[in-house]
Amino acid sequence: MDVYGFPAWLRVEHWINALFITLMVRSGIEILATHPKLYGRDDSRPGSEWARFTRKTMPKDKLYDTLDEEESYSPIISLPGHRNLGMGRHWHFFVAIGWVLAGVTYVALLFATGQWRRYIPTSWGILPQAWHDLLTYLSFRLPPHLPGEPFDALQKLAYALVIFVLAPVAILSGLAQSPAVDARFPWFLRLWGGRQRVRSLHFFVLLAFLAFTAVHLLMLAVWGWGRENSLMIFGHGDAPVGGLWVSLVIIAAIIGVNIAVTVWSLRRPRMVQRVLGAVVMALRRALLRPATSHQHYPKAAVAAQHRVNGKPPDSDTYKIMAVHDFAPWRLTVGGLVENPVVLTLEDLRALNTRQSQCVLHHCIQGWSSVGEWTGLPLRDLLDLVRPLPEARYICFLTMQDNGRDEPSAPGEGHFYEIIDLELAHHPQTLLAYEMNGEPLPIEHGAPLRLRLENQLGFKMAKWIHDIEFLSDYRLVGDGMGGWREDNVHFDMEVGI
Amino acid sequence: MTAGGHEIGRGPLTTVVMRYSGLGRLATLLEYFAFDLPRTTTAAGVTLMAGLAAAHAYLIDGGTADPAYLNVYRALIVTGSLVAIALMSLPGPARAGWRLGSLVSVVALAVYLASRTAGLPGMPLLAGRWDCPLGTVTMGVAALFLALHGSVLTGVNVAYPRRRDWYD
Amino acid sequence: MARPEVMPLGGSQRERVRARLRSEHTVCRACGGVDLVIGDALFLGFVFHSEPTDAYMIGLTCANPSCPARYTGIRLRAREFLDR
Repeated sequence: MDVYGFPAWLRVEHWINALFITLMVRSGIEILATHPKLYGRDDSRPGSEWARFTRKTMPKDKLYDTLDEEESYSPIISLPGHRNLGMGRHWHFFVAIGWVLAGVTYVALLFATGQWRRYIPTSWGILPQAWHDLLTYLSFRLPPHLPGEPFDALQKLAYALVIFVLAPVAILSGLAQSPAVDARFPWFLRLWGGRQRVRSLHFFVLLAFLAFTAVHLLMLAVWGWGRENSLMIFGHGDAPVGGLWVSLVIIAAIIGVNIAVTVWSLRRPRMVQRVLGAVVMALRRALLRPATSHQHYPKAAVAAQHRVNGKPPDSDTYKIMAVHDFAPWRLTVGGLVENPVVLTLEDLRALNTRQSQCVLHHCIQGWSSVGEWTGLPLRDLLDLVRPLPEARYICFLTMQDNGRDEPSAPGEGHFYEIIDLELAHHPQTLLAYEMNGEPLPIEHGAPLRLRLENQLGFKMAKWIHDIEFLSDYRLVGDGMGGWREDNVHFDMEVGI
Repeated sequence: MTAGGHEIGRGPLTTVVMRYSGLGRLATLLEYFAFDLPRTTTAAGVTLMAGLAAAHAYLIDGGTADPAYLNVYRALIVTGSLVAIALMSLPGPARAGWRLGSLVSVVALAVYLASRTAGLPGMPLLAGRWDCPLGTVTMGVAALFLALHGSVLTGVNVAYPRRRDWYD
Repeated sequence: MARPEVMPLGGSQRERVRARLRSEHTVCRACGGVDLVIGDALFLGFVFHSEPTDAYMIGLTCANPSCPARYTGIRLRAREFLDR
């Protein structure tokens, strides 16, 4: 006789969890598709990956960027599929919030009701028992349940591992990929062996959940699909036929929800961006915005080859500026400021503050690289131009025209990104004109780019020529806070 | 064919098998998976071979009434597995080691399945006896080795001493 | 600090560029001045996707101090100015 039973809250949690896991796995695969390569080292050096899930090869005689490397996976395996990183991220984080809340509730109820004993063994004797159970399974027979419990010893250990080890590792290894967390607590990232190792570990967590689900379903079939589902649906095992049919209905519903959110995301991405983004961005703003960067990587960690996302302005004007070492270039700083200015590169260099920082770059696609950046702290530019009280945002306008320069990015128009004025005061927010001790290379944003160390890379506009202080970002472009937000539905607040 | 987008060498026999066995679609799918873990791959192959050797060494007669040919067969499997391990670990004959490992695995798998279906000479009672954990492990280990070698042949994995020449 | 992407030209290379400017009667597009100072070369072929793989931009500066746009350039292929 099972003394624990299957209380209603446990059954509800189980099926919610089943839905969340499917959405997490599919949106996770969408995120992986955007940079389908896994590395052991934080420099993500091209060719050094230990795994790749792509058929693409890159040219040797032309600059390629990581947008060229993106894969388009089928919606059958990814949410929503067809190369939609923005949508994949919205779903991954939105569902993650729900999944964590459900998980915390579940664990709290386990301990509040004494149900934790159904998973956590209280005697080392379970190990020889589990070994015996394994031999029994290998004999194609079913082992006995533990006395008064719903599982055999091996099952009990497996569930304990998934709930109390795998799920926390999934959450923590996800958090360890946040630029805000890693910038504020570099030791936390070191704990996992680095940015790319923790990304690889997160991938193994995905595989572990898939393997667990496969074995779980196999075990259900072996132990009796109808009876087991009767337990998890009705709370008793007396209605195997009902359990069979209702389980099929629930599975159909889970598939239906997956199809519905996929279609919604593909057809109405802006709506998904607004609805899910409202929840996700509010949480990010509250939890991750306050994280200031405290990164001081050793110079030895600087990557020999820093990957590139985005191609430089392919215009004669830009090329002529570049061949003259950007002598004709001017930076216009205006908008809601007391003292609008126009600066040359020499003016910027001559301003009395010059700051260097050796930091880890987090790309939204998942790759990373360490670089040393030198330039003018943005707060010092603020001191120079003195924003008016109504200024709340800063817009960085660039010379890059995506329709002309970036065949791998859908959308037209000049690239721009808008940040909250609050971020400008962070100590490592920098207008960089040098990289690794040399003038900022063309492919990395020459002559001037933004460094925003607690955010993802796409916010760090390159090839900047104009900085405008605004009261409201919704008046610019499509009103979502940047070119990527407008065109590929990324989030504006990207502390993770 | 490619692996991770890069051309890989393939023998004429494999090409013919891939083309005419209806595995073309599977092969296309496999092209999306490529790993550069030669030492891990070889270590996994060596471990599986060691498992196969151990399982058969354990069964070499210590006083039971198994026919003598069965012990000779087990000794051959153990020897074959150990030779395969040695060859796989050397840079020169590694490929021959993998082939020998697959041969040993196929034989072990076939003999085990035959023993549990048709029965073996002098051992008719084995037929239908699937409830032997060591036998299940033998089947699993042999099948996993074949799958691993298959992944090497199809370019999903590379084994020591080969490496990927990825530049991107 | 010199920009690594920019390549200084040698004497013979400058001569070939100068000859090219003469043969095409190149003048400053902003002021029409004929005195163009030849500067450095920037390799375009790798970084810019629209450019042929052997394209360069040669920097030209108009010597007229009152020119409204002194900085300009001419696009050449490698064989047109580099030593063989």
